[in-house]
Amino acid sequence: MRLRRCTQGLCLISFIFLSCSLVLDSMAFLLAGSTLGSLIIGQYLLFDHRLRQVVSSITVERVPARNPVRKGTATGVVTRLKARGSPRLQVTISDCIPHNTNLVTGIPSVSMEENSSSQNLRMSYRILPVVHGPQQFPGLSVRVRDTFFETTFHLARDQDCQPILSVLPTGIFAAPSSDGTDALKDTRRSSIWSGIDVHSLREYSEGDDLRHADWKISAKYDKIFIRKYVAPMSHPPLIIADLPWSGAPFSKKEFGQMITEVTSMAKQTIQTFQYVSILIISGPNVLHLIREERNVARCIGELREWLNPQERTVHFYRMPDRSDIRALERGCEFALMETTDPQTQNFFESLQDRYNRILLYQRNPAFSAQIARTLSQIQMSDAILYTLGYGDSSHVRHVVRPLKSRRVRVVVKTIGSMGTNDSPDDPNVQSPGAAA
Amino acid sequence: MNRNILHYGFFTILAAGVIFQAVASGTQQGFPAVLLLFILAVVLVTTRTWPDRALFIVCIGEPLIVACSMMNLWAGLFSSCMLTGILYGTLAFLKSLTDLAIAGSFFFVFIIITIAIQVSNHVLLPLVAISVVAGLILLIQSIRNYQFARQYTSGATII
Repeated sequence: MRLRRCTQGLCLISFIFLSCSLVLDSMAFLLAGSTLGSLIIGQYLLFDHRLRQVVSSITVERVPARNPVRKGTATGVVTRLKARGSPRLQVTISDCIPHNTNLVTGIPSVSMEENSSSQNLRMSYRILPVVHGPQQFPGLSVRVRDTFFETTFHLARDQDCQPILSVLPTGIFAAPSSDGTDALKDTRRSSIWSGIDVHSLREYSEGDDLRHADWKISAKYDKIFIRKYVAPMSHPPLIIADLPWSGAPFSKKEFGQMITEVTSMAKQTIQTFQYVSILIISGPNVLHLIREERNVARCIGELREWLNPQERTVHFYRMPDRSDIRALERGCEFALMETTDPQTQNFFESLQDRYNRILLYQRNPAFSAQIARTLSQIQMSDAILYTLGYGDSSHVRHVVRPLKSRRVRVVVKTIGSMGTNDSPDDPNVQSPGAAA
Repeated sequence: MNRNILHYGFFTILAAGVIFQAVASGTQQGFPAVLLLFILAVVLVTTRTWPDRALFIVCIGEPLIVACSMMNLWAGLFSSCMLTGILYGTLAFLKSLTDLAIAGSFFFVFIIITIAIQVSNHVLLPLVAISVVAGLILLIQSIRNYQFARQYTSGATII
């Protein structure tokens, strides 16, 4: 509690009069000083009583527009308050936004009227989470002031801190960085075999095969230069881990098996190719990309952090790929050309019309674009997708199609109760759960 | 109730009481009280639109209480009560029966203090008693505040 300036002056006057009464042994000064002092204490008791009444009457209901929310995505929050005011008490209630969020628009603060009626108040604002993970609202800040005193009271009961905002991480959707590091990187590999291209030149040293000498350069510099040739480059496979949705049941044993397989594959890839790239998705949600990780311990650490059942903001339910629909539409066209039966023609026409409508209204999902952008950062010749195959698996096709368009060999490994199912280039894998 | 009417009403009663006491005492001790009463009237009129008007009223009202108490301690009590009335009228603190009851309780405390001073020969004892009571009240309040803060803020304290 703080004394306002007026009250500080009154306290000073009271103190001076009481001091004078002690020094002068004057009852008159004592009466003046003590009555003023008792008045200040009385006002303080009144202020405290009213403050308690106001604070204990506050009930809060906070509703975020979306929960969970993606990191870096603004979300609206509506806070409804019910409180009883107090006469001659200025009450301002502020909603404390979570620590790792920024206020985008709106004012998370509201003032109460100075009367003793029950009041319904509403705050509306937008916040932007900047860190992923559960974010709790710290509560409410109640600023109370009257003529003599003012105080700020922080309400942090359980009901004041609800709900916990679940902030999901952002996918790696950014295009390759333009800092030039990728462009400068030498992706070629030198070979002892002579190939179609020269990797580099170096001075002759004892034991080098003179058949690899570059005589033109040697004559120019009057030294013998030996050619080093480029070997055919093979890139490590991209590992894609499709994590199960935390909101649906799944087999922990199978998930454990999937983690083991992903981890051992990552280790093996680093040992073979010196680095590994792992894309972590959960259904049609891109979660994380471990890009060209060379350190096994760091890679395993990151996998340990990320390979958990994840919350999904986006769900697919039998979401067809536009290319598939186009293919189906073309199939209808061919069927129409070949058939002469009016009923069959009618059937294919209506089917074609249905496909056309789907193509007209259904746009490519954002997931496809995210996958395309993410994959464009990685060089690969193979990709292995690990999934449990629970629920809808139409997102697998959205992952496989851009890979196939880059001529990447895709292996979809469905880890189910029937055992590991390797389906090279076949995204239409149906797990036992999905089939059910 | 009109705020001005209220505190000018209290001032009128105060003025009547102080003048009566000054005349009744028949000594020169009444002159400073009347002079301070006049200054209080001027302050009341001039500070109508000023912020922290209560502080100015108290600044001039307290010497008036001292001056009245020097004539008679009960006159001092009377002026204290009236000054509180003026103060409350100025701050619009007298709007309902509850407010009147609060003001009445303050008057009652003033009477207790006056009686305590009246029965004492020297300042020290009543001053110590008043200080102890005030200290006890603040101590109890701080404990209550701690408990309240713990209940509502999960261990945090009132800032």
